[in-house]
Amino acid sequence: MKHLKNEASHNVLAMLFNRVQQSARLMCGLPDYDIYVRHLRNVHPGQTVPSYEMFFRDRQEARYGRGMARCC
Amino acid sequence: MSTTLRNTVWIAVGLLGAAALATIALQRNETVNAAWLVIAAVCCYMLGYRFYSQFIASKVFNLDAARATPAMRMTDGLDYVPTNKYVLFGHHFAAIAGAGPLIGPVLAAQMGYLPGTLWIIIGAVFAGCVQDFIVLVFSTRRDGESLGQMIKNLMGREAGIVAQIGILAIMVILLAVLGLVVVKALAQSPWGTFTVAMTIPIALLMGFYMRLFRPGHIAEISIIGFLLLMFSLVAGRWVAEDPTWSVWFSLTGPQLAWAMIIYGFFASVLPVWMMQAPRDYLSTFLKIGTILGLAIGILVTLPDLRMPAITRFIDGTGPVFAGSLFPFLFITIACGAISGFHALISSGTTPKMLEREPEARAIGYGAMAMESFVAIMAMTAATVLEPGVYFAVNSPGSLIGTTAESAAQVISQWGFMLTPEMLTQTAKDVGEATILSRTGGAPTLAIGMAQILSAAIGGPALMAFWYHFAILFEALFILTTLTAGTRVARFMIQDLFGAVVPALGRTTSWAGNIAATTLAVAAWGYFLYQGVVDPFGGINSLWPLFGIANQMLAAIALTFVCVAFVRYGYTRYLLIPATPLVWLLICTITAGIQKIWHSAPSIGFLAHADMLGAALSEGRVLAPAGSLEEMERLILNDQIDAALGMIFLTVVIAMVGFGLRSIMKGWSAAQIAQEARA
Repeated sequence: MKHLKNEASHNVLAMLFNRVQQSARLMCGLPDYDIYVRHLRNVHPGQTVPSYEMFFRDRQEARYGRGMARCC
Repeated sequence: MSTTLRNTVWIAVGLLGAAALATIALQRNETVNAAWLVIAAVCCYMLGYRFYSQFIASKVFNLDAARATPAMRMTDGLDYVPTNKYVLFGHHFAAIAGAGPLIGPVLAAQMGYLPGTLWIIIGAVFAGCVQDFIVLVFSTRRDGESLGQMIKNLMGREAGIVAQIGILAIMVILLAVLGLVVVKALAQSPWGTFTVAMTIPIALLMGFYMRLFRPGHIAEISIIGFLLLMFSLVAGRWVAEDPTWSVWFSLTGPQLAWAMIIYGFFASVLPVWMMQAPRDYLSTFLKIGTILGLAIGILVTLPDLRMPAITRFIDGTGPVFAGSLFPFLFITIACGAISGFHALISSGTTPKMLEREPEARAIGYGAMAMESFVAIMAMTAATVLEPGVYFAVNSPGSLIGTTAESAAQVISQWGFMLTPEMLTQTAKDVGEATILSRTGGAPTLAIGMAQILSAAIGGPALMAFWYHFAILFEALFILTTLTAGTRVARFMIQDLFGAVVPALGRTTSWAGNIAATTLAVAAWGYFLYQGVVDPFGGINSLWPLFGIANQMLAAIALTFVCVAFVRYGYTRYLLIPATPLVWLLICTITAGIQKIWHSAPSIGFLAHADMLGAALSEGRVLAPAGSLEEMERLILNDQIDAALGMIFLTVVIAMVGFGLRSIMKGWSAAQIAQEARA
């Protein structure tokens, strides 16, 4: 799985796949990496962009570190 | 679509829903098809969504796509991210869906399918969905604040602390009762125990693989984990059939309870990537998949419900839980109708990702409607069973004995046809030595699911597989909740007591962590162990306590909502949150008082303690207790349960007091403002 997204793609299937993937990741507390990178580049151009692996670890700790208010 | 056509469609939905409700309510002598349950529920959710939530969205809140949400205003790419409506719906639903809506309806089925079904539907449309939706709206308008912060800011610091104590108490009883459900499902079941035990090495393997080799490849590792899980499910049968191995994995209730306590401790002090995260991936995807699978299974097979619409146990003499329809049905159903925990989720990550304000409606109200539908499916799974079999699985051994013959005899006397052969055959079908007194809801649900799923795929040959798949699915996400919940409880303990005992409050010190975790595990472990050795099966006393706690949390959330309504100038619509709040308060307080002070020993903790105490002073051993020491322990348990009930009552009454105080303040503030304007 590559984390490349073709912005111009009008391929409905690709978009659908993307949404499902985004959804599935969000269900386990992992936000979209591409969006984060874009945000960093636009808003904080000076900051170094963490690798996907670093981003992943950071988010994992953020989600589970203090436990999550899990529903019964 | 033209207005006329649209109106026609909605009138048709209304008529269809009414017809379905009439069918399930009025059918008496013939069996009812599950299709009517599904249609009644779906039509009501659609109508509730279309009209009631629309009213709240546009008339009350005037939700506006042009008003920037926190996700838009405070974008940080991590927590605050504008997210597609459907993606966010999936996230929110996955966060609110849990074991509660699957178990409550199964227990409530002892009164027949009708009372439970009606409360699931009505409760969701007017209480549960409304709570989730409104809390989401307020949190969104307050920069994504959590329920705790909003309570503190709008109702004062004391209110915030009391709410926190309430939440901690709920966590403890929730974890204990969920643990008990797993123990009851796995006791003396080598197949189930092996499969669930295997989830520990599988999770560790996944954790290390992701840490060392392929960080962040969730899909890949989840598929590997799932395949390993399915393999251990198949291997479980070999274990169960092997004379040596089956002995190793046939554990008694107390053994399993200790195993869970030890597991809970280690799983919550280990680094999260090792156990907690991989478990969460597996259980999340398995949960969503199984819920979809069950929905498809029910729609494809459309089974008949065997349970009568209403049974004689509405009078409070039922074997599954004691107490009459009011208030105990409303306590028992719990999360399928309204769940206080959802208020925590609706004010957690979801409001920070909402792209446009009006989408709160589909996500808040809509996701809860779907959760309520899960409860309807659980009710279906429980009531497709032969009622006699249902009662054999859910009644404690102290009532029905421990042999198929004794159980069949007792249950037939209750008026539900049952032969010993039916019990042995069902046990054989699902690959267990016995199905008697497997209380707690999970095994019932698993048998029902196995019946439905095997009718759709695989036939009787796969029934045992589906049964253990269902057990695995429930145990997996209950254990995930146990791990996550212990961590939450640990940090709450550190937050709450850190002020008093600074050493405990240092979240970075190992000693503080170990001490707080030990406290958290000891708290739920105590109630779990007490439930396991309870001769009445534990679920009997603990589930109502959990139900009271959960509805109490909802009452806290709705109290906050009422305060917010007044403070934000929606007073003329106050009935929208106040009606479900008053109903919840009536149910919770009545149930709490009855559980503590009811004169019948089967219901009231103190009456039960008195009965045992009287016998003890005469030196008599009362069955099912085996010895005088055991009687002393039972008395202590009763007293602790009663004390916990009193804590719940105190918390809820205090919160209502804080709420009224804030409302008065809000009103006088509004008056002053009005006078100043005039």
